[in-house]
Amino acid sequence: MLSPVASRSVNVAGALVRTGVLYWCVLSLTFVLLRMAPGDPATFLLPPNASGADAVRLRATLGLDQPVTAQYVRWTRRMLHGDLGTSFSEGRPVVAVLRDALPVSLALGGASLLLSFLVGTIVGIVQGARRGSYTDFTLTIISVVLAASPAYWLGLGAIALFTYVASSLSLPLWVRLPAVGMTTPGADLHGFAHFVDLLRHAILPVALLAAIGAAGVARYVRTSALDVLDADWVRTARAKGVPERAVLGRHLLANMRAPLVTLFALALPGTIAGSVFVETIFGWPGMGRLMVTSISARDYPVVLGSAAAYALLVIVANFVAESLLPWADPRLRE
Amino acid sequence: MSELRRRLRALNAGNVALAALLLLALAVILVPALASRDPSRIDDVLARRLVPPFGRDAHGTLHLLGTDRFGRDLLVRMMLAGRLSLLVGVVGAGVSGLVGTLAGALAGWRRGVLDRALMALADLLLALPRIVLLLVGVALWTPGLTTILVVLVATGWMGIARLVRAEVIAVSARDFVSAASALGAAPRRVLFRHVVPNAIGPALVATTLGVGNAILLESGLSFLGLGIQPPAPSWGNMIAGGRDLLVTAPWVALAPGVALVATVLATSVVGDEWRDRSRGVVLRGDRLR
Repeated sequence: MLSPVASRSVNVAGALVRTGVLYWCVLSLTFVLLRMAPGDPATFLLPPNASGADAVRLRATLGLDQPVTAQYVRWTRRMLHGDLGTSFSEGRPVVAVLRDALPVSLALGGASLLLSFLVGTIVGIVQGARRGSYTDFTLTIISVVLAASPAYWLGLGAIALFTYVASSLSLPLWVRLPAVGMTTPGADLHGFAHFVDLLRHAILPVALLAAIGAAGVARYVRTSALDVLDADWVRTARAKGVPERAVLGRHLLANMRAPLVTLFALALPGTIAGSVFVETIFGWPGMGRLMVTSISARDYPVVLGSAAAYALLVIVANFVAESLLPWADPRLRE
Repeated sequence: MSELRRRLRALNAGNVALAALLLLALAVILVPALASRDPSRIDDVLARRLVPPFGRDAHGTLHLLGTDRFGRDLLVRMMLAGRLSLLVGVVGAGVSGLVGTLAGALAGWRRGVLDRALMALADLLLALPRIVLLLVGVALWTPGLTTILVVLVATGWMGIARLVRAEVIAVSARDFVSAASALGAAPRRVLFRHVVPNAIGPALVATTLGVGNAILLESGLSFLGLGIQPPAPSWGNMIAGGRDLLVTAPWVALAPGVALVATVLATSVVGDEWRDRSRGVVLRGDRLR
């Protein structure tokens, strides 16, 4: 028999291996998809005046004249060296292109995910505690409508409101928020002024993503809170005189930990989807916008490279959530 | 008493949403058919362009929702776009549901290697966010209705398959299934006549809820210029067309957006209602969960 610690390490190691295999399959899928794409990469890479001999030479250098199995082996070797290929349009390694875009998306997504959990949990618990009240009803309507609204449309509305409308009403400058980009172009700001500038640019996109995320979290938390609040031990706690604040803050919240950890992993794809549109609307040079622009440029290696990076995020998030569950819910520690 | 009133109110929400959807379906069929002008025709742009809602253009034609920058009537174009959105939603979600049900039923019924292979494939596809898969799909093939539908189905069946598989495994263990087999029914008949009909409830609800999602995804792709290509109208590309008119002519982006939100909202209300009803009980008198 293994000790509990050892058996848990074995479980984690097993999960790690499964995660690795899954990710390898995702990467292989991108290889298959690239091979399935119609058209010959050589035609995208060569200048219009290139001859047929040029095309043959390029295919030989890219290894495209070899059998698919040989190509897969070659691709595998490059993957293991962390080489995702070269961007057609930029001529830089895909890894370098992603290295520029990933921090932007991580910051944008991370900040809004955090905010949406903070706001969504509070709103959901308030709704659960005041079930059936007008507060509950209003918040439900808001969250249902937000969940049905496309992020890009809300983004356009926010831009119209905080730039054009705010300036036409001559509202104070701090209300008029910049709509496009991460920083003011041309302004040579440093230190604190740079930070404030970045923060002002971040308000609209982060708030938008957070609001949409919070709507989903609130609906989920409300449902879970109602389940918990109907449990016998909540009635017992109330009966023995535990103040309502403590019932919600200690008893309820402790029981919400596991569902919230699960939801955190589940919410990531949604945040990613939202950020694709929000980055495009607000002109943030993150992975989402990179993907959209490289699709228009037919830059397949970058498209598939970003897809692989997104998949890595989701898979890692699932793995982390799975590993955190025993911490969140002691009943799962067996 | 208040329980009853609550029930009635909630019933109404579902019915109102369903009625709104039927009305929309009727409108998208009738309005473009009855339109006096071809909605994609562009002529005399200066006289017709950017007429505000309820306004008349220089020719005296009334435009209920105004016109866009090319002088095309927005109501007619929105209804044409609605045809497409409803089609994408219903077909995209419906075929995903069908494929998912078949895959899930086979996996749950046959178990073994097929089960493992199908579920591994589902895990694989679920590791990629759906929007990313959609973007990869339109990147590799030409943007358009067929590509969108194919990719929506290819990326939408996994959740349904998992639901159906779990239900099929549970239902297969029930006595009436053994009874049907014992009476000599062929395995295929047992599966499709006895097991699947009893396992399909959650999948139907998930499919209904998937309609709104499919509509949102299509509009998003079209907004990015990677879906339905102009001049064919889609709510997404109409919003994109109003993007730089937010100040001068906000109605161009507003109208299709409202249509989009209302449609998605209505499908999700109908789906929620169906889910609550299929549970058979009103959960603690609480219909908004």
